[in-house]
Amino acid sequence: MSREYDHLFKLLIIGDSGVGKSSLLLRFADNTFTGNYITTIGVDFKIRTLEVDGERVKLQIWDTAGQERFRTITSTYYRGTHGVIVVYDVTNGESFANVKRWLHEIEQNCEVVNRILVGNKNDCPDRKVVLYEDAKRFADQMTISLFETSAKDNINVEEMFTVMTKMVLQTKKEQKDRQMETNDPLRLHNNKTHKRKPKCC
Amino acid sequence: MGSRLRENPRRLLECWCEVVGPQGEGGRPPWISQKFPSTYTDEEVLKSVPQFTFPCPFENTTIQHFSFVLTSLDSKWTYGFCRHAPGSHTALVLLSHLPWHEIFYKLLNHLADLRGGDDPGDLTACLQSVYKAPVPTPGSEVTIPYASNKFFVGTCPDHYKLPTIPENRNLLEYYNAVDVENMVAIFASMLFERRIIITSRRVSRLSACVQAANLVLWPMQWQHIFIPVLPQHLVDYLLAPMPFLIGVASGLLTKVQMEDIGEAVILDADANTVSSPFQDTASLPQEVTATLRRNLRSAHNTIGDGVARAFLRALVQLIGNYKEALQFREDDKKITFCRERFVALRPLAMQSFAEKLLQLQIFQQFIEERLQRLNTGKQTSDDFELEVNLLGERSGSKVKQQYRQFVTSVRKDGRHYQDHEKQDKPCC
Repeated sequence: MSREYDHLFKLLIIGDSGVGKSSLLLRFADNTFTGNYITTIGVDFKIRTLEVDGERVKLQIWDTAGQERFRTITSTYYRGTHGVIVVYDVTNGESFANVKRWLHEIEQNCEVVNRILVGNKNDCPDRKVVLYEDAKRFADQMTISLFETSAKDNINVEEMFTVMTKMVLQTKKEQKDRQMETNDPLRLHNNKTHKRKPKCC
Repeated sequence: MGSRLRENPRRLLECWCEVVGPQGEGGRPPWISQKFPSTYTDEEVLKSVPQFTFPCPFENTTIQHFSFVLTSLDSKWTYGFCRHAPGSHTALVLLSHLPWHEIFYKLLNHLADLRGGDDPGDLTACLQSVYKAPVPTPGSEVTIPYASNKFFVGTCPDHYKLPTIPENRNLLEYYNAVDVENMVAIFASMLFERRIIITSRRVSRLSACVQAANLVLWPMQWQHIFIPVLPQHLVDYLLAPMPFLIGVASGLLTKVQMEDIGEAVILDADANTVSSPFQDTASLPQEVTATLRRNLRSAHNTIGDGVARAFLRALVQLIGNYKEALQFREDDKKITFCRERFVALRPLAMQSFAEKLLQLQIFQQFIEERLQRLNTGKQTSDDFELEVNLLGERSGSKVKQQYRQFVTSVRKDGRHYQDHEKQDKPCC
């Protein structure tokens, strides 16, 4: 039996509760009823299958409850993941401060390559307190992409997830290429230059 | 902070339910036939109770008690204590914020007797009295009168003390089902924050083992996904990429593709076997595991708090020196934790493990909790700190004196009594 997808990726969405993580997921996820379990078992995920460059990609996006209680989210949390979507609320400065800390921690201790910064609730200019320029400066400094989205008005959500999907797909291809080079006896001499030892995870 | 228990729960009992089991395959799913008080309206919880009470088909030849745990959005736990009697198509459930298995199991038996008794008013009267009773002090005896000459009597466990065998039913079950080597293996895998599955054919054993595995981590507490008994409709949650500790009925686990789950540590609590793709036990410092095994195997440890204390002493060896890494920051008069110092002060053989410890959420939350207490002028004097002091005295450490100085300095500055959970700089 053929599988319904060519790639399965597990992504994490992190950010304070109230920044609109579940709304972003609902916007993005396939329109299938899966229920909502974050308030009963503290974890939830949504699924979306999409096609990128002719390949069927299945994304599982996972969310856990009460992340704001962590001053830092340690590397073990990211161990099994292909990418992280880091969300703050553009109308809430505290939520931005939290994600900044968490991203620094990822930068220092984790080998999570694919990260994306998302400023959600970008639909009410009067209430916006995290300026695009400030967020962009931070994103550039961390060399990650920044998207300002509104799950409510469906602005930029699709674009953000598409970029994330392309990133994880690209990473997988690069890893595969590296593996093939390693396995190819003719190219054995190249091994050293490509070997990367993960810092953790 | 670190604790998953709610601070100062308002009542002993949140709610009582009677749940009717599923009516055959494809029939009506389980449902709540009655509850007390009728004013309890947490819809999210009520929606989940039937499925967690009947998580999967299971045999019931004797009265079976087990507990499930619901996690709210703030990551705090609500316990559901269940009683399944053979031949009965309903189960009784008590919801509470207190982790007091023994007294709630006893209360469930008492309520079951009243339900089948002569006076139909007794059940409601008893529930009413328990519901209204003030939250007892941990460790105290309670006598709750509910009708003339009728009482419910029980002992509240003290969850601030080390669990003892045979009083603590979860630890007793774990100790009986799982041998020393496998208990150490699960302990080690929890210290590496793996994805851990415990399976058994019996739900009572499942929930007991999951609860006990977390108990012996104290003073740390599992910070990740925690589901002592996984209902069958949530089986896809075993695919979660982040750390978890989940109890899964054996029948249910066979329905999942292991390749979809990926790298996980699995304890079969019936067969007493652990399968793991990792070498977690071997990755712990050898002197720690050697002492732990020896302490767990010595015969006089089987009753009392010996088992729990053996694990506690292992943790004292691993993290007890956290105080040596505390520093006093002059500019804002706060005590902070220096990660570099924590590693550098360890003997060479322990340093690589100390580095790993810093990457653990359970350790991070432990440090945060201790710092918060210190920075609000409180000293912690629990079994863990006592064991740390004992070790310190043996090794002639000066840490104790320095620690007292820190606490005094913080206390002198009244402004810093307030809560400082989130600091900009973790250390140095």
